[in-house]
Amino acid sequence: MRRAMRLALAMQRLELWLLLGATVVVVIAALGIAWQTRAVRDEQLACYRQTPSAEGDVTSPCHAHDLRLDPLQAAAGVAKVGVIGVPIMMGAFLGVPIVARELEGRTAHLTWSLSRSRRRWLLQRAGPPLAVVAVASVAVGVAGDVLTHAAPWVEGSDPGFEDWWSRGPQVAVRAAAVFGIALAVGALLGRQLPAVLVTGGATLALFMAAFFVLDGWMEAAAEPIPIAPTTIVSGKIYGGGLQNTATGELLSDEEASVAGLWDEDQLDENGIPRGYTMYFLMVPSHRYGEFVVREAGLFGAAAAATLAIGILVTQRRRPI
Amino acid sequence: MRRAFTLAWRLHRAELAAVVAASTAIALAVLGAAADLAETHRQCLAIGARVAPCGGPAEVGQYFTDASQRAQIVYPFAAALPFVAGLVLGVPLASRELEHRTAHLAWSMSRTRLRWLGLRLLPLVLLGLLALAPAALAGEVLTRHYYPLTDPAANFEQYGIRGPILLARFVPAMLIGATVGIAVGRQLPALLVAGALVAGMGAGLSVLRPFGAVPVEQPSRFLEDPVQVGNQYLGIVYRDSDGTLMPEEQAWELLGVPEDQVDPDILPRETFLVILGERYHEILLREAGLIGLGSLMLGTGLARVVRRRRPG
Repeated sequence: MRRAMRLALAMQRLELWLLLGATVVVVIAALGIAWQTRAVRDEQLACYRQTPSAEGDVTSPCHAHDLRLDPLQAAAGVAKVGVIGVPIMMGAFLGVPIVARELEGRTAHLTWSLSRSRRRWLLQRAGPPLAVVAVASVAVGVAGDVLTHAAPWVEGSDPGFEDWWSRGPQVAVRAAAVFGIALAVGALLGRQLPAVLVTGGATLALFMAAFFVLDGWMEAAAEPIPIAPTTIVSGKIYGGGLQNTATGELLSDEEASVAGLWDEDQLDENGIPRGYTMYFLMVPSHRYGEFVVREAGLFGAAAAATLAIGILVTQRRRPI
Repeated sequence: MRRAFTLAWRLHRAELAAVVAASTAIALAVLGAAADLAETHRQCLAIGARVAPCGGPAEVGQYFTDASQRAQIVYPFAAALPFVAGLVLGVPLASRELEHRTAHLAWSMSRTRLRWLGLRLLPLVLLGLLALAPAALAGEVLTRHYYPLTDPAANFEQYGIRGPILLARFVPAMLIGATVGIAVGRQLPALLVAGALVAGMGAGLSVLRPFGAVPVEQPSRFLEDPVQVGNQYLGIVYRDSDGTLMPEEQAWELLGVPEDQVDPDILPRETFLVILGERYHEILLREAGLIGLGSLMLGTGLARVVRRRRPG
């Protein structure tokens, strides 16, 4: 088993080193940016405590810190692209060549005939790279999480659904799904570069489908949350309107406007129509974990299905 | 030469088909948005600027509709297209021969390695340019309908996703791909290395713009004259009453003082650094020149690598 693992990793050592290098760069960059952002933001908050704004002053008294935070936020944006992109690239570039390189190099008939079964051969070849993809992607996802929590506007609060695609361990499940697609496409096409291109297209399609399915789930799960002018809410907002305080009836913004509730004479001292409370139709932040599990299930199913297809194709296809 | 084209097609038909498919898909998406915007403009000319979204061009020179949003979704794909196409066609040029151990055969059958390279590279470059042409042309059509009040030849908006510069960017990307492919000798690792280099080149071109052209200062008159579409915005500078440059930090300190506590004469004047829209073609030429020079150097490097590389 150990020899098989070493062989599987040695076959792809160049891609592996390049992608692990990229992973290390992204993780270090994300953590470094997060650390610097927190340090500068802490200095800015201390500055705010020491120098309260003068009356009539419309600008920040601690603007110097903004000049340092802006490039850090720009760098954080680039790091988030890395958090999204590197696991996908790992899945694609380590999944495609497992079968496709043997077929393209016309060595499949030799390796397959030397192994007890093709399935055993494939599991021994695909297992170690898949494990590397999963571990590296978890590291990248955790670094993304740290980066999101370090954002200047978070300040220890719940970031909710912010940076959905660029944080958390679910990044690893997505990478596993891409790995499965790459393996299956590589086995089907038998040529590496076309397989990478088709994998790219299929990955784009999968992510778009997942986006729409998730959005549909979230919209269906959105609930009316009453808000007051001083309430701080966090979550994914799908709309809002007014709720009748007495009857509990919900009116959308459009319905409230048509009913004339926003007319000047209908408003109380807070600018809200009398007898009504504002509400947001939203998925509250505390349900973030639930949707992470749902998304992981979606991509996990895709990974299982594509890996099964990859095994099936490898078992049945001609070794050329 | 005809044989060279046939061979290029047969060896790289999957990659060429992918580039054609991507270019066509982008062109269709862009042309669809352009057609919708043209229809919006035609209707707005008839009904006047008072109905949304017809007021857009009167105020900022563009419409804000579903079609304009659709076009914006395509931007990153169109911007990446020449670089990705260059990689996809350039990397396997020789790395596939090296990886399959057929390079020693192919090279020994050709009169010289440089002749082999020329006969492989040239048809692919021409076919690649042909494949990208629909996306480049569609981008030009889009700009005409996206900014109906602005001359597209004096407009920096949608720079890089339209016209000849989209085609020009393909060439160095392909040369980088081919050079790395020959140096590394394996397709997928070469794709990764070349991808990083081409991404660096793309970022470099973006950072280097306007390629040494000296910007002019324009007073920030956004509230009085919001129609500033077409100019290339580069940044903001602050000057004191004598016209001397003032550090941003000092300018913000003064701008933060309540109006009744500060002498208006010492307040900094904020001006935009811009390249005027009418210099669009000049900047295109500057970038094309830089790309040409870079391509020449890359081509020389590629020739040297091909001549010296061991075929195994």
